Amino acid sequence: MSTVLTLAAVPATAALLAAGWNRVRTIGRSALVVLALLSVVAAVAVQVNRLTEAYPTEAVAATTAAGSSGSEMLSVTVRGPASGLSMPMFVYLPAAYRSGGGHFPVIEALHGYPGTPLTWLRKLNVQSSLDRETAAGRIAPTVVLFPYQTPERLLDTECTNLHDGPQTETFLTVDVPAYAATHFRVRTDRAAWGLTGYSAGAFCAINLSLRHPQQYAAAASLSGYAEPGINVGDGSQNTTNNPAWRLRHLPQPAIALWLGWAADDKESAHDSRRLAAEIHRPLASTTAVVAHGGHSSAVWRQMEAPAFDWLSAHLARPLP
Amino acid sequence: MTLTGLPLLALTVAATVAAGAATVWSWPRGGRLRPVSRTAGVLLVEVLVVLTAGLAVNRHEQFYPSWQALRGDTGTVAVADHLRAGSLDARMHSSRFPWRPPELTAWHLTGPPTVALPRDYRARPDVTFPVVLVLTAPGEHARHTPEAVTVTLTPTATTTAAALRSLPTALGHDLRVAAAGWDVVGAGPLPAAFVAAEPPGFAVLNQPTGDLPPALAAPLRLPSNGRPT
Repeated sequence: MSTVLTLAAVPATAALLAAGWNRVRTIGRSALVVLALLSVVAAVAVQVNRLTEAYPTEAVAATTAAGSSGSEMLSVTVRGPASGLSMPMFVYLPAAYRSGGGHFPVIEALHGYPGTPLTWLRKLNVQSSLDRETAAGRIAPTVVLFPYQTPERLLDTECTNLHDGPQTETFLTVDVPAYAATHFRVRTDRAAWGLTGYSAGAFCAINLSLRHPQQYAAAASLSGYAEPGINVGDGSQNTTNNPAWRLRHLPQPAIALWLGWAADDKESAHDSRRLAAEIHRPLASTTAVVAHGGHSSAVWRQMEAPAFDWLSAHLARPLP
Repeated sequence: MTLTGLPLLALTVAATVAAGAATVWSWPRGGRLRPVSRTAGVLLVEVLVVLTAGLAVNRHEQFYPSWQALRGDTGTVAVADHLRAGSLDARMHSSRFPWRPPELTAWHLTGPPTVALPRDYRARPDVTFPVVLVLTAPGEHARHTPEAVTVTLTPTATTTAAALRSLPTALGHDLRVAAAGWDVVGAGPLPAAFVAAEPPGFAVLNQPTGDLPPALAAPLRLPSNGRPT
Protein backbone atom coordinates (compact mmCIF):
# COMPACT_ATOMS: atom_id res chain seq x y z
CA MET A 1 0.00 0.00 0.00
CA SER A 2 2.80 2.44 0.93
CA THR A 3 4.48 1.71 -2.40
CA VAL A 4 1.35 2.56 -4.38
CA LEU A 5 0.65 5.70 -2.34
CA THR A 6 4.17 7.11 -2.53
CA LEU A 7 4.60 6.29 -6.21
CA ALA A 8 1.23 7.88 -7.01
CA ALA A 9 2.16 10.96 -5.00
CA VAL A 10 5.14 11.73 -7.25
CA PRO A 11 3.19 12.47 -10.48
CA ALA A 12 0.40 14.01 -8.43
CA THR A 13 2.69 16.56 -6.79
CA ALA A 14 4.46 17.18 -10.12
CA ALA A 15 1.09 17.92 -11.76
CA LEU A 16 0.13 20.15 -8.83
CA LEU A 17 3.37 22.07 -9.21
CA ALA A 18 2.82 22.47 -12.96
CA ALA A 19 -0.81 23.53 -12.67
CA GLY A 20 -0.55 25.67 -9.58
CA TRP A 21 2.64 27.57 -10.36
CA ASN A 22 0.94 30.57 -11.97
CA ARG A 23 -1.86 30.74 -9.45
CA VAL A 24 0.21 31.30 -6.33
CA ARG A 25 3.02 33.60 -5.26
CA THR A 26 6.47 32.91 -3.76
CA ILE A 27 5.41 31.10 -0.59
CA GLY A 28 2.90 28.97 -2.44
CA ARG A 29 5.40 28.10 -5.16
CA SER A 30 7.98 27.15 -2.52
CA ALA A 31 5.41 24.92 -0.84
CA LEU A 32 4.65 23.19 -4.16
CA VAL A 33 8.36 22.57 -4.80
CA VAL A 34 8.87 21.21 -1.28
CA LEU A 35 5.83 18.97 -1.68
CA ALA A 36 7.19 17.56 -4.94
CA LEU A 37 10.60 16.95 -3.37
CA LEU A 38 9.08 15.30 -0.32
CA SER A 39 7.06 12.93 -2.48
CA VAL A 40 10.21 11.84 -4.31
CA VAL A 41 12.12 11.37 -1.05
CA ALA A 42 9.22 9.36 0.39
CA ALA A 43 8.99 7.14 -2.70
CA VAL A 44 12.74 6.46 -2.63
CA ALA A 45 12.70 5.77 1.13
CA VAL A 46 9.85 3.27 0.77
CA GLN A 47 11.68 1.44 -2.03
CA VAL A 48 14.98 1.35 -0.08
CA ASN A 49 13.05 0.02 2.90
CA ARG A 50 11.46 -2.65 0.72
CA LEU A 51 14.94 -3.66 -0.38
CA THR A 52 16.43 -3.85 3.11
CA GLU A 53 13.34 -4.76 5.20
CA ALA A 54 14.73 -2.39 7.85
CA TYR A 55 11.24 -1.24 8.85
CA PRO A 56 8.85 -4.02 7.82
CA THR A 57 5.66 -2.45 6.55
CA GLU A 58 3.35 -5.42 6.70
CA ALA A 59 2.45 -7.35 9.80
CA VAL A 60 3.85 -10.86 9.82
CA ALA A 61 1.64 -13.67 10.97
CA ALA A 62 2.71 -14.94 14.37
CA THR A 63 2.80 -18.48 13.06
CA THR A 64 3.37 -19.58 9.51
CA ALA A 65 2.84 -23.27 9.03
CA ALA A 66 3.60 -25.14 5.83
CA GLY A 67 0.62 -27.45 5.99
CA SER A 68 -0.85 -29.07 9.07
CA SER A 69 2.10 -31.44 9.50
CA GLY A 70 4.79 -29.31 7.89
CA SER A 71 7.29 -26.90 9.33
CA GLU A 72 6.38 -23.82 11.36
CA MET A 73 7.80 -20.30 11.50
CA LEU A 74 7.00 -18.80 14.89
CA SER A 75 7.34 -15.18 15.97
CA VAL A 76 8.46 -14.75 19.58
CA THR A 77 9.96 -12.04 21.77
CA VAL A 78 13.20 -12.75 23.62
CA ARG A 79 13.53 -10.77 26.82
CA GLY A 80 17.21 -11.11 27.69
CA PRO A 81 18.17 -10.78 31.33
CA ALA A 82 21.90 -10.99 30.59
CA SER A 83 21.95 -8.28 27.91
CA GLY A 84 18.99 -6.23 29.11
CA LEU A 85 17.70 -6.29 25.52
CA SER A 86 14.25 -7.34 24.44
CA MET A 87 13.87 -8.15 20.75
CA PRO A 88 11.65 -10.20 18.47
CA MET A 89 12.89 -13.45 16.93
CA PHE A 90 11.55 -15.87 14.35
CA VAL A 91 11.88 -19.58 15.04
CA TYR A 92 11.80 -22.27 12.34
CA LEU A 93 10.60 -25.62 13.63
CA PRO A 94 11.06 -28.50 11.16
CA ALA A 95 8.18 -30.86 10.40
CA ALA A 96 9.88 -33.57 12.49
CA TYR A 97 9.71 -31.26 15.53
CA ARG A 98 5.93 -31.23 15.39
CA SER A 99 5.47 -34.87 14.56
CA GLY A 100 7.80 -36.48 17.11
CA GLY A 101 9.95 -36.09 20.17
CA GLY A 102 13.67 -35.71 20.58
CA HIS A 103 16.05 -32.79 20.78
CA PHE A 104 17.23 -30.93 17.71
CA PRO A 105 20.41 -29.17 16.58
CA VAL A 106 20.20 -25.38 16.29
CA ILE A 107 21.41 -22.77 13.82
CA GLU A 108 21.29 -19.05 14.58
CA ALA A 109 20.80 -17.18 11.29
CA LEU A 110 21.72 -13.48 11.39
CA HIS A 111 20.60 -10.65 9.13
CA GLY A 112 22.52 -7.86 7.42
CA TYR A 113 22.57 -4.14 8.11
CA PRO A 114 20.38 -2.25 7.57
CA GLY A 115 17.82 -4.98 7.82
CA THR A 116 15.78 -7.41 9.84
CA PRO A 117 15.28 -11.19 9.83
CA LEU A 118 12.42 -10.60 7.39
CA THR A 119 14.93 -10.64 4.55
CA TRP A 120 15.58 -14.30 5.40
CA LEU A 121 11.83 -14.96 5.46
CA ARG A 122 10.73 -12.99 2.41
CA LYS A 123 13.59 -12.35 0.01
CA LEU A 124 15.52 -15.55 0.71
CA ASN A 125 12.41 -17.76 1.17
CA VAL A 126 14.24 -19.55 3.94
CA GLN A 127 11.32 -21.66 5.17
CA SER A 128 10.83 -23.23 1.73
CA SER A 129 14.55 -23.72 1.33
CA LEU A 130 14.89 -25.46 4.71
CA ASP A 131 11.80 -27.60 4.03
CA ARG A 132 13.19 -28.66 0.65
CA GLU A 133 16.67 -29.52 1.98
CA THR A 134 15.21 -31.42 4.93
CA ALA A 135 12.80 -33.38 2.72
CA ALA A 136 15.69 -34.26 0.39
CA GLY A 137 17.69 -35.56 3.36
CA ARG A 138 20.48 -33.04 2.78
CA ILE A 139 19.99 -31.51 6.21
CA ALA A 140 18.87 -33.18 9.40
CA PRO A 141 15.75 -31.68 11.02
CA THR A 142 17.11 -28.53 12.65
CA VAL A 143 15.64 -25.65 14.64
CA VAL A 144 16.72 -22.36 13.04
CA LEU A 145 16.58 -19.11 15.01
CA PHE A 146 16.33 -15.72 13.30
CA PRO A 147 17.08 -13.11 15.99
CA TYR A 148 17.42 -9.36 15.48
CA GLN A 149 20.90 -7.90 15.85
CA THR A 150 19.77 -4.25 15.79
CA PRO A 151 18.18 -3.02 19.05
CA GLU A 152 17.75 0.30 17.22
CA ARG A 153 17.01 -0.24 13.56
CA LEU A 154 19.61 2.20 12.29
CA LEU A 155 22.29 1.37 14.87
CA ASP A 156 24.90 -0.92 13.33
CA THR A 157 26.09 -3.21 16.13
CA GLU A 158 27.77 -5.91 14.03
CA CYS A 159 26.62 -8.23 16.85
CA THR A 160 29.16 -6.76 19.28
CA ASN A 161 28.79 -5.44 22.81
CA LEU A 162 29.11 -1.75 22.08
CA HIS A 163 31.04 0.20 24.69
CA ASP A 164 28.38 2.17 26.60
CA GLY A 165 25.79 0.79 24.17
CA PRO A 166 23.57 -2.23 23.49
CA GLN A 167 25.06 -5.61 24.45
CA THR A 168 24.08 -7.46 21.29
CA GLU A 169 26.79 -10.11 21.51
CA THR A 170 25.50 -11.09 24.96
CA PHE A 171 21.94 -11.13 23.64
CA LEU A 172 22.86 -13.47 20.76
CA THR A 173 25.23 -15.78 22.63
CA VAL A 174 23.60 -15.93 26.08
CA ASP A 175 19.98 -14.78 26.01
CA VAL A 176 18.93 -16.34 22.71
CA PRO A 177 20.44 -19.79 23.50
CA ALA A 178 18.89 -19.68 26.99
CA TYR A 179 15.49 -18.77 25.52
CA ALA A 180 15.74 -21.58 22.97
CA ALA A 181 16.74 -24.12 25.63
CA THR A 182 13.83 -23.07 27.85
CA HIS A 183 11.10 -22.93 25.21
CA PHE A 184 12.02 -25.56 22.62
CA ARG A 185 13.29 -29.13 22.48
CA VAL A 186 16.79 -28.29 21.34
CA ARG A 187 20.19 -29.73 22.08
CA THR A 188 22.20 -27.43 24.31
CA ASP A 189 25.68 -28.81 23.69
CA ARG A 190 28.23 -27.04 21.55
CA ALA A 191 28.43 -29.82 18.92
CA ALA A 192 24.82 -29.15 17.91
CA TRP A 193 24.97 -25.33 17.61
CA GLY A 194 25.96 -23.39 14.50
CA LEU A 195 25.79 -19.87 13.11
CA THR A 196 25.12 -18.37 9.71
CA GLY A 197 24.36 -14.96 8.25
CA TYR A 198 24.53 -12.81 5.14
CA SER A 199 26.49 -9.56 4.73
CA ALA A 200 26.90 -7.98 8.21
CA GLY A 201 25.23 -11.11 9.60
CA ALA A 202 27.98 -13.16 7.94
CA PHE A 203 30.60 -11.07 9.71
CA CYS A 204 28.64 -11.73 12.91
CA ALA A 205 28.64 -15.50 12.28
CA ILE A 206 32.40 -15.57 11.74
CA ASN A 207 33.22 -13.26 14.64
CA LEU A 208 30.90 -14.90 17.17
CA SER A 209 32.06 -18.42 16.27
CA LEU A 210 35.71 -17.40 16.68
CA ARG A 211 34.93 -15.64 19.97
CA HIS A 212 32.71 -18.43 21.35
CA PRO A 213 34.11 -21.75 20.11
CA GLN A 214 32.89 -23.37 23.32
CA GLN A 215 29.31 -22.64 22.16
CA TYR A 216 29.38 -23.08 18.38
CA ALA A 217 30.92 -25.90 16.35
CA ALA A 218 30.50 -24.39 12.88
CA ALA A 219 29.58 -21.19 11.05
CA ALA A 220 28.66 -20.35 7.45
CA SER A 221 29.35 -16.88 6.04
CA LEU A 222 27.37 -15.61 3.03
CA SER A 223 29.29 -12.59 1.67
CA GLY A 224 30.99 -11.72 4.94
CA TYR A 225 33.78 -9.38 5.98
CA ALA A 226 37.03 -9.66 7.87
CA GLU A 227 36.44 -6.52 9.96
CA PRO A 228 33.35 -4.99 11.58
CA GLY A 229 33.60 -1.58 9.90
CA ILE A 230 32.23 0.20 13.00
CA ASN A 231 33.73 1.72 16.11
CA VAL A 232 32.90 -0.64 18.98
CA GLY A 233 34.05 2.03 21.43
CA ASP A 234 36.86 0.14 23.10
CA GLY A 235 39.20 -0.31 20.12
CA SER A 236 38.29 -4.00 19.82
CA GLN A 237 37.24 -3.49 16.18
CA ASN A 238 41.00 -3.63 15.49
CA THR A 239 41.71 -6.62 17.72
CA THR A 240 39.38 -9.06 19.44
CA ASN A 241 36.31 -8.12 17.37
CA ASN A 242 38.32 -8.34 14.17
CA PRO A 243 38.42 -11.89 12.69
CA ALA A 244 41.45 -11.09 10.50
CA TRP A 245 43.38 -9.99 13.60
CA ARG A 246 42.14 -12.94 15.63
CA LEU A 247 43.22 -15.47 13.01
CA ARG A 248 46.68 -13.89 12.82
CA HIS A 249 47.34 -13.28 16.51
CA LEU A 250 45.34 -15.77 18.58
CA PRO A 251 45.32 -19.58 18.65
CA GLN A 252 42.71 -20.75 16.16
CA PRO A 253 39.79 -22.73 17.62
CA ALA A 254 38.73 -26.23 16.52
CA ILE A 255 35.63 -25.14 14.64
CA ALA A 256 34.63 -25.30 10.97
CA LEU A 257 33.93 -22.27 8.74
CA TRP A 258 32.15 -22.10 5.38
CA LEU A 259 33.08 -18.94 3.49
CA GLY A 260 30.95 -18.04 0.47
CA TRP A 261 31.18 -14.94 -1.73
CA ALA A 262 30.39 -13.64 -5.21
CA ALA A 263 33.49 -13.20 -7.34
CA ASP A 264 32.41 -9.67 -8.36
CA ASP A 265 31.63 -8.56 -4.76
CA LYS A 266 35.01 -6.88 -4.36
CA GLU A 267 35.11 -6.15 -0.64
CA SER A 268 33.58 -9.43 0.53
CA ALA A 269 35.64 -11.47 -1.97
CA HIS A 270 38.83 -9.77 -0.83
CA ASP A 271 38.02 -10.18 2.86
CA SER A 272 36.85 -13.79 2.52
CA ARG A 273 39.98 -14.78 0.57
CA ARG A 274 42.05 -13.01 3.21
CA LEU A 275 40.36 -14.99 6.00
CA ALA A 276 40.66 -18.29 4.10
CA ALA A 277 44.38 -17.69 3.63
CA GLU A 278 44.88 -17.14 7.37
CA ILE A 279 43.03 -20.28 8.46
CA HIS A 280 45.06 -23.24 9.65
CA ARG A 281 44.66 -26.32 11.83
CA PRO A 282 42.69 -26.98 13.95
CA LEU A 283 40.27 -24.55 12.27
CA ALA A 284 38.75 -26.12 9.15
CA SER A 285 37.46 -24.10 6.21
CA THR A 286 35.47 -24.64 3.03
CA THR A 287 35.04 -21.99 0.34
CA ALA A 288 32.26 -21.49 -2.20
CA VAL A 289 32.20 -18.85 -4.92
CA VAL A 290 29.26 -17.63 -6.99
CA ALA A 291 30.38 -16.31 -10.40
CA HIS A 292 28.63 -12.94 -10.19
CA GLY A 293 25.72 -11.18 -8.55
CA GLY A 294 27.46 -8.63 -6.35
CA HIS A 295 26.23 -8.08 -2.80
CA SER A 296 22.60 -8.99 -3.33
CA SER A 297 19.74 -11.27 -2.36
CA ALA A 298 20.16 -13.21 -5.61
CA VAL A 299 23.60 -14.34 -4.43
CA TRP A 300 22.35 -15.30 -0.97
CA ARG A 301 19.42 -17.23 -2.42
CA GLN A 302 21.96 -19.22 -4.40
CA MET A 303 24.12 -19.79 -1.33
CA GLU A 304 21.63 -20.57 1.41
CA ALA A 305 20.87 -24.22 0.57
CA PRO A 306 24.55 -25.25 0.11
CA ALA A 307 25.42 -23.36 3.32
CA PHE A 308 22.68 -25.08 5.35
CA ASP A 309 23.65 -28.47 3.84
CA TRP A 310 27.26 -27.93 4.87
CA LEU A 311 26.26 -26.77 8.36
CA SER A 312 24.13 -29.84 8.97
CA ALA A 313 27.04 -32.10 7.98
CA HIS A 314 29.21 -30.28 10.53
CA LEU A 315 26.74 -30.28 13.42
CA ALA A 316 25.64 -33.10 15.67
CA ARG A 317 22.45 -34.91 14.71
CA PRO A 318 19.05 -34.75 16.44
CA LEU A 319 18.89 -36.95 19.53
CA PRO A 320 15.85 -39.13 20.28
CA MET B 1 28.57 0.71 -20.83
CA THR B 2 29.13 -0.79 -17.38
CA LEU B 3 26.64 -0.25 -14.55
CA THR B 4 29.26 1.10 -12.15
CA GLY B 5 31.41 2.97 -14.69
CA LEU B 6 31.90 6.72 -14.90
CA PRO B 7 30.54 7.04 -18.47
CA LEU B 8 27.03 5.96 -17.42
CA LEU B 9 27.15 8.21 -14.36
CA ALA B 10 28.35 11.15 -16.47
CA LEU B 11 25.60 10.47 -18.98
CA THR B 12 22.86 10.56 -16.33
CA VAL B 13 24.34 13.73 -14.80
CA ALA B 14 24.38 15.38 -18.22
CA ALA B 15 20.84 14.18 -18.94
CA THR B 16 19.67 15.56 -15.60
CA VAL B 17 21.20 18.96 -16.30
CA ALA B 18 19.79 18.99 -19.83
CA ALA B 19 16.33 17.96 -18.64
CA GLY B 20 16.47 20.62 -15.93
CA ALA B 21 17.46 23.30 -18.43
CA ALA B 22 14.78 22.20 -20.88
CA THR B 23 12.13 22.25 -18.16
CA VAL B 24 13.13 25.78 -17.07
CA TRP B 25 13.16 26.93 -20.71
CA SER B 26 9.77 25.46 -21.47
CA TRP B 27 8.18 26.55 -18.18
CA PRO B 28 6.62 29.81 -19.49
CA ARG B 29 5.97 28.28 -22.94
CA GLY B 30 3.74 25.50 -24.24
CA GLY B 31 0.37 27.24 -24.61
CA ARG B 32 -2.57 25.06 -23.69
CA LEU B 33 -0.31 22.06 -23.21
CA ARG B 34 1.74 23.90 -20.62
CA PRO B 35 0.51 21.86 -17.60
CA VAL B 36 1.37 18.67 -19.44
CA SER B 37 4.84 19.78 -20.58
CA ARG B 38 5.61 21.16 -17.13
CA THR B 39 4.52 17.94 -15.41
CA ALA B 40 6.51 15.82 -17.83
CA GLY B 41 9.58 18.02 -17.32
CA VAL B 42 9.36 17.85 -13.52
CA LEU B 43 8.88 14.07 -13.58
CA LEU B 44 11.78 13.60 -15.98
CA VAL B 45 14.11 15.65 -13.79
CA GLU B 46 12.98 13.78 -10.68
CA VAL B 47 13.53 10.37 -12.27
CA LEU B 48 16.96 11.38 -13.56
CA VAL B 49 18.01 12.78 -10.16
CA VAL B 50 17.00 9.53 -8.42
CA LEU B 51 18.68 7.45 -11.13
CA THR B 52 21.92 9.44 -10.84
CA ALA B 53 21.92 9.18 -7.04
CA GLY B 54 21.23 5.44 -7.26
CA LEU B 55 24.06 4.91 -9.72
CA ALA B 56 26.45 6.94 -7.55
CA VAL B 57 25.55 4.96 -4.42
CA ASN B 58 25.82 1.65 -6.30
CA ARG B 59 29.18 2.71 -7.78
CA HIS B 60 30.46 3.44 -4.27
CA GLU B 61 29.00 0.39 -2.51
CA GLN B 62 29.19 -2.08 -5.43
CA PHE B 63 25.89 -3.76 -4.50
CA TYR B 64 25.25 -4.59 -8.16
CA PRO B 65 28.60 -4.51 -9.99
CA SER B 66 27.12 -5.46 -13.39
CA TRP B 67 23.93 -5.50 -15.41
CA GLN B 68 23.87 -9.29 -14.87
CA ALA B 69 23.92 -8.78 -11.10
CA LEU B 70 21.10 -6.23 -11.37
CA ARG B 71 19.02 -8.82 -13.24
CA GLY B 72 19.65 -11.32 -10.42
CA ASP B 73 21.75 -13.54 -12.67
CA THR B 74 24.50 -15.21 -10.61
CA GLY B 75 25.78 -17.41 -13.42
CA THR B 76 26.03 -20.25 -10.93
CA VAL B 77 23.93 -23.25 -10.04
CA ALA B 78 24.37 -25.32 -6.90
CA VAL B 79 24.51 -28.99 -7.85
CA ALA B 80 24.13 -32.08 -5.70
CA ASP B 81 27.26 -34.13 -5.26
CA HIS B 82 27.18 -37.51 -6.93
CA LEU B 83 26.57 -40.16 -4.28
CA ARG B 84 28.52 -43.25 -5.30
CA ALA B 85 27.35 -46.63 -4.05
CA GLY B 86 29.92 -48.56 -2.04
CA SER B 87 31.52 -51.41 -3.92
CA LEU B 88 30.43 -53.76 -1.11
CA ASP B 89 26.84 -52.46 -0.97
CA ALA B 90 25.47 -55.18 -3.24
CA ARG B 91 27.67 -57.98 -1.92
CA MET B 92 27.10 -57.75 1.82
CA HIS B 93 25.26 -60.60 3.46
CA SER B 94 25.66 -59.45 7.05
CA SER B 95 25.71 -56.19 8.94
CA ARG B 96 28.98 -57.25 10.58
CA PHE B 97 31.87 -58.64 8.54
CA PRO B 98 35.66 -58.71 8.29
CA TRP B 99 36.87 -56.03 5.87
CA ARG B 100 39.66 -57.01 3.48
CA PRO B 101 40.49 -54.07 1.18
CA PRO B 102 43.59 -54.27 -1.07
CA GLU B 103 45.42 -51.83 1.27
CA LEU B 104 45.06 -54.16 4.26
CA THR B 105 48.58 -55.60 4.19
CA ALA B 106 50.16 -52.13 4.23
CA TRP B 107 48.43 -51.34 7.54
CA HIS B 108 50.19 -54.14 9.47
CA LEU B 109 47.17 -54.98 11.63
CA THR B 110 46.66 -58.14 13.68
CA GLY B 111 43.92 -59.10 11.21
CA PRO B 112 41.25 -57.61 8.97
CA PRO B 113 39.19 -54.83 10.61
CA THR B 114 35.63 -55.64 11.59
CA VAL B 115 32.95 -53.47 10.02
CA ALA B 116 29.59 -53.11 11.77
CA LEU B 117 26.87 -51.35 9.78
CA PRO B 118 23.98 -49.33 11.16
CA ARG B 119 20.67 -51.15 11.06
CA ASP B 120 19.26 -48.90 8.32
CA TYR B 121 22.32 -49.00 6.02
CA ARG B 122 20.62 -51.06 3.31
CA ALA B 123 17.25 -49.35 3.72
CA ARG B 124 18.76 -45.93 2.97
CA PRO B 125 20.79 -46.27 -0.23
CA ASP B 126 20.74 -42.50 -0.86
CA VAL B 127 22.70 -41.36 2.21
CA THR B 128 26.24 -41.51 3.56
CA PHE B 129 26.75 -42.54 7.17
CA PRO B 130 29.07 -41.15 9.84
CA VAL B 131 32.04 -43.28 10.82
CA VAL B 132 33.40 -44.48 14.15
CA LEU B 133 36.93 -45.83 13.79
CA VAL B 134 37.95 -47.84 16.85
CA LEU B 135 41.55 -48.79 17.50
CA THR B 136 41.56 -51.54 20.10
CA ALA B 137 44.10 -53.58 22.00
CA PRO B 138 44.43 -57.28 21.10
CA GLY B 139 41.65 -59.41 22.55
CA GLU B 140 39.05 -56.63 22.74
CA HIS B 141 35.69 -57.12 21.07
CA ALA B 142 34.66 -55.25 17.94
CA ARG B 143 32.36 -52.30 18.63
CA HIS B 144 28.99 -51.41 17.17
CA THR B 145 27.41 -47.95 17.00
CA PRO B 146 23.73 -47.98 15.99
CA GLU B 147 23.87 -44.79 13.88
CA ALA B 148 27.33 -45.13 12.31
CA VAL B 149 29.53 -47.38 10.24
CA THR B 150 31.86 -48.72 12.91
CA VAL B 151 35.30 -50.01 11.92
CA THR B 152 37.22 -51.83 14.64
CA LEU B 153 40.87 -52.59 14.01
CA THR B 154 43.72 -53.85 16.15
CA PRO B 155 47.05 -52.26 15.29
CA THR B 156 50.44 -53.89 15.85
CA ALA B 157 53.72 -52.28 16.85
CA THR B 158 54.50 -51.66 13.17
CA THR B 159 51.20 -49.91 12.34
CA THR B 160 51.78 -46.23 11.61
CA ALA B 161 49.45 -43.27 11.18
CA ALA B 162 51.09 -42.61 7.81
CA ALA B 163 50.16 -46.09 6.58
CA LEU B 164 46.57 -45.71 7.85
CA ARG B 165 46.09 -42.56 5.78
CA SER B 166 44.85 -44.76 2.95
CA LEU B 167 42.06 -46.15 5.14
CA PRO B 168 39.48 -43.35 4.63
CA THR B 169 39.78 -43.59 0.84
CA ALA B 170 39.53 -47.37 0.97
CA LEU B 171 36.46 -47.25 3.20
CA GLY B 172 34.88 -44.56 1.01
CA HIS B 173 35.38 -46.86 -1.97
CA ASP B 174 33.74 -49.86 -0.32
CA LEU B 175 30.92 -48.22 1.71
CA ARG B 176 28.77 -45.09 1.74
CA VAL B 177 30.50 -43.10 4.48
CA ALA B 178 30.79 -39.40 5.35
CA ALA B 179 33.84 -37.56 4.11
CA ALA B 180 34.26 -35.65 7.40
CA GLY B 181 33.35 -35.74 11.07
CA TRP B 182 34.78 -39.21 11.80
CA ASP B 183 35.02 -40.25 15.41
CA VAL B 184 38.37 -41.93 16.14
CA VAL B 185 38.30 -43.93 19.35
CA GLY B 186 41.34 -45.29 21.12
CA ALA B 187 44.09 -44.67 23.63
CA GLY B 188 47.77 -44.08 23.07
CA PRO B 189 49.63 -42.11 20.43
CA LEU B 190 48.39 -43.87 17.25
CA PRO B 191 44.75 -42.65 17.27
CA ALA B 192 45.92 -39.11 18.01
CA ALA B 193 48.55 -39.31 15.27
CA PHE B 194 45.92 -40.58 12.80
CA VAL B 195 43.63 -37.60 13.59
CA ALA B 196 46.55 -35.17 13.32
CA ALA B 197 47.59 -36.59 9.95
CA GLU B 198 44.16 -35.95 8.41
CA PRO B 199 42.91 -32.53 7.27
CA PRO B 200 41.40 -30.35 10.04
CA GLY B 201 37.76 -31.21 10.68
CA PHE B 202 38.04 -34.70 9.17
CA ALA B 203 38.22 -36.59 12.45
CA VAL B 204 37.78 -35.96 16.17
CA LEU B 205 39.45 -38.02 18.85
CA ASN B 206 37.17 -39.81 21.30
CA GLN B 207 34.10 -37.63 20.82
CA PRO B 208 30.78 -38.78 22.31
CA THR B 209 28.76 -40.79 19.78
CA GLY B 210 25.92 -38.32 20.27
CA ASP B 211 28.12 -35.68 18.63
CA LEU B 212 28.36 -37.61 15.37
CA PRO B 213 26.86 -35.84 12.35
CA PRO B 214 23.62 -37.19 10.87
CA ALA B 215 23.44 -39.60 7.94
CA LEU B 216 22.78 -37.30 4.98
CA ALA B 217 22.08 -37.31 1.26
CA ALA B 218 24.72 -35.78 -1.02
CA PRO B 219 24.78 -32.02 -0.34
CA LEU B 220 24.23 -29.18 -2.79
CA ARG B 221 27.56 -27.57 -3.57
CA LEU B 222 28.78 -24.39 -5.20
CA PRO B 223 32.04 -24.26 -7.11
CA SER B 224 35.06 -23.18 -5.07
CA ASN B 225 36.58 -21.30 -8.01
CA GLY B 226 33.73 -18.98 -9.04
CA ARG B 227 33.54 -20.25 -12.62
CA PRO B 228 30.06 -19.96 -14.15
CA THR B 229 28.14 -23.25 -14.18
